[in-house]
Amino acid sequence: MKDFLLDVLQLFFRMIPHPTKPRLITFGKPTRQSPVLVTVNSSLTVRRLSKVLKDEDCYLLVAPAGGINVWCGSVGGHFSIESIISIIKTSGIESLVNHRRLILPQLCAPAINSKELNARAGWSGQFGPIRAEDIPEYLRNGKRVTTAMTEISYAPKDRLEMAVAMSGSIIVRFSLLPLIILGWWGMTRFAASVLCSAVVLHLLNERLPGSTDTRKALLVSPLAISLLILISWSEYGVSIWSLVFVAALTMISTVLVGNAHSGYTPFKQCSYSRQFYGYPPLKIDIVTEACTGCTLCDWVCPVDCFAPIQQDNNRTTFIMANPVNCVECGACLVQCPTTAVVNLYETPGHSPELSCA
Amino acid sequence: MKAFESVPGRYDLGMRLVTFGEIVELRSEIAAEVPDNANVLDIGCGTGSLLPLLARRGARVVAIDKSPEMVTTARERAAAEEILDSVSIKQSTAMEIDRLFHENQFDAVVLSLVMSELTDDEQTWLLNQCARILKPNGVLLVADEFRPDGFFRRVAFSALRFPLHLIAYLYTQIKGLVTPNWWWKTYYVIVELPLMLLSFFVGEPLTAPLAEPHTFLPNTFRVVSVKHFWSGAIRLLKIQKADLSQ
Repeated sequence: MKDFLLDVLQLFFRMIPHPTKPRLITFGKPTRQSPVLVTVNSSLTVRRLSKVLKDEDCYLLVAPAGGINVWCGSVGGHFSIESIISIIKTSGIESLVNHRRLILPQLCAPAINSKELNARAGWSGQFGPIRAEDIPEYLRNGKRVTTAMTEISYAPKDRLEMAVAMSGSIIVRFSLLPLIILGWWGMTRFAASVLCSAVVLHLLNERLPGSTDTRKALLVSPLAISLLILISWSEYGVSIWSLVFVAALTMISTVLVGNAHSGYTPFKQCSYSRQFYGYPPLKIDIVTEACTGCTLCDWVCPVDCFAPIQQDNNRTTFIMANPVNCVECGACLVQCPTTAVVNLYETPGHSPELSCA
Repeated sequence: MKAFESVPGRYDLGMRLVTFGEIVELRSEIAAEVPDNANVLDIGCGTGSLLPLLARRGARVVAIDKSPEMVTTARERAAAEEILDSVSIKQSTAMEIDRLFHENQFDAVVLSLVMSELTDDEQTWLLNQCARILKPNGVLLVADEFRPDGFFRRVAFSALRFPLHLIAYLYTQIKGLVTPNWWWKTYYVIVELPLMLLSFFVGEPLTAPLAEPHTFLPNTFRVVSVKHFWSGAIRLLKIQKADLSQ
C-alpha cells in the first residue's frame, strides 16, 4: 500500500528528486562470487530494481546521487565515480565478495569510465542492460547483453508514464496563473487539459501529422476542448463564457505540452539543459584513423548511432551512421579508449578528414 | 557549504556571511591547536585559507579538496603567500584517503566543515581512516555545525538555519543560469520556483548538523577540548588518538 502511494506520488512529481538512503541491499543468498550491481539512490529506481531482483542471488549497491535517476544523474553530474567510490567504501562490499567487478547500468556511461574507476577504486566496471526488467535474463546469459538490451525502447506503457510525469511538472509550474485568474474551476480545467493532451501526444506522436510537436499538440486540442466541455456541461451546463475560457486554457496548455514534449522522451535532450544550464551541444563524429574498432561506442550508445565498416586493410572501424538519432548524452565521448570519438563543435574548423556519413 | 563550492571567488565571502564572520576566528583557533612543526593533513581545504596559518606554525601540510576549481584557487593562494615549499595540494575526495596515505603518517588531521556534508556511513568511514593515518597521540580537529544543546537554542538555530539554507539552495539552482537574456532568466525563475521549492523540501539537505561527538566517534578517539562558536552551533573539537602501545 505504501509502495503504491509512493509510486503514484513519484509518478506525478517525477521532476523532483526522491532520495533514499545509500546502502547495500542483499538479494537471495549471495556467495563470494555473486554479481555486484550498482544503481542510484532514487527511491523509485531502487523499488523497481528490488522487484526484478527479488529472485536473484546478488548484491545491489545504492550509490549516493542526489535521488536522481541514472541517466539524468550521469549527464547532470550527480552520479559519478565519486558516488561509486563512496558506496564501495561505506558498504564494506570488499569484504563480502572475492571479485572486483561491478555491473553498471548502461545509461551511466556518460559519467563513468571503467578505466578511471579501476584506477581510483580498484574495481572494474561492466555495462549491463538499460532496463531493469532485462537484468535477470542478463545474469542468466552469463552477463552478456543482447543488442535489444542496449537500445532505448519507448513502449506505450513508458509513454503513458512519461505523459503523466510531464503533466505533473507542467501543472506544478504553471497552474498558479489559472488559479489566480479563474479560481479552482480554471485550475482543474487546466490540469485536465494538460493531462489529456500530454497522454494523446505521447501515445500518438509519430502518427500525428505536423512538422513540430507544438503543431501536433494543437491538433489534439479539439479533443481536449470537447472533453472539458463535456465535464463542464455535466456539472453546470454550458455558457458562452465557459466555452471561451475552456478554449483559451486548452490552447495554452497544448502549446506548453507541445513545447515540452520532446525533452520528456528518451530521444531528445531536454531543451532546458542547454538554454539554462549551459550543457555544451554535441556533434559527434569518429576520426577513422584513430578508431581501433573496439565496439565500445556502439555498445554504450542507447540510440544506435554507430555502425561498423570494413576498411581496405582488413580492419573494422566505426562511423557515425545515424547522426539524427543522437541524443547528445556524451556516453561515446567519455567511453572511447582512444580519442577517436570527437565533438565537432570543439574541433577547430571542422577538419576535412572527418567523414560524416 | 556545498552551495558556494562551485564558485571559489564567492566561497570565502559566502562562508563569512553565513557564519556572521566567526569563520575567521575559527580558522585561527584551528591553527592554534595544531602542534608545532607537525605533519598536517587538511581534508576539504577549500580556497586554502587555513594553509598560510598552518605554514606559519612550521607545519608541513598536505591539503586535499574534491573540486578542481578549489584546488586551483588554493594553489594560487599558496603561491601568493610563498608557502609552496611547505604545502602540497591534491585534488581528491575525502573518501579516497585510504589509497593516498599510509598508517601513522600525520601528527594532525583537520576536518573543517567537511563532516556535515557527508552521510552517516561516510562519516564513520572517514573517522576510522583518520584514526589509521594519525600517529599515536595525533590530533584530529573537527570544526563543524553541531546541533546546539537545549530546546530554545535548537529552535532558534533551526529558525536561522532554514532561511539561510533555502537561500543557499536557490542560489545554487539559479547560478546555473547561463542565458544572457534577462527575459528568459525571469521566465525561468518564475516558472521553476515551484519545482525548486518542492525539491528543496523533498531532496537531500545541503548539510546536516552533527549530533553529540560520542555518537559518531570511534573508540580510539578521545575528545580533549570543545570550543563554541556562533553560540554553540559551530564547534571546534580537539580529538586525540589514544596511544595503544601504552
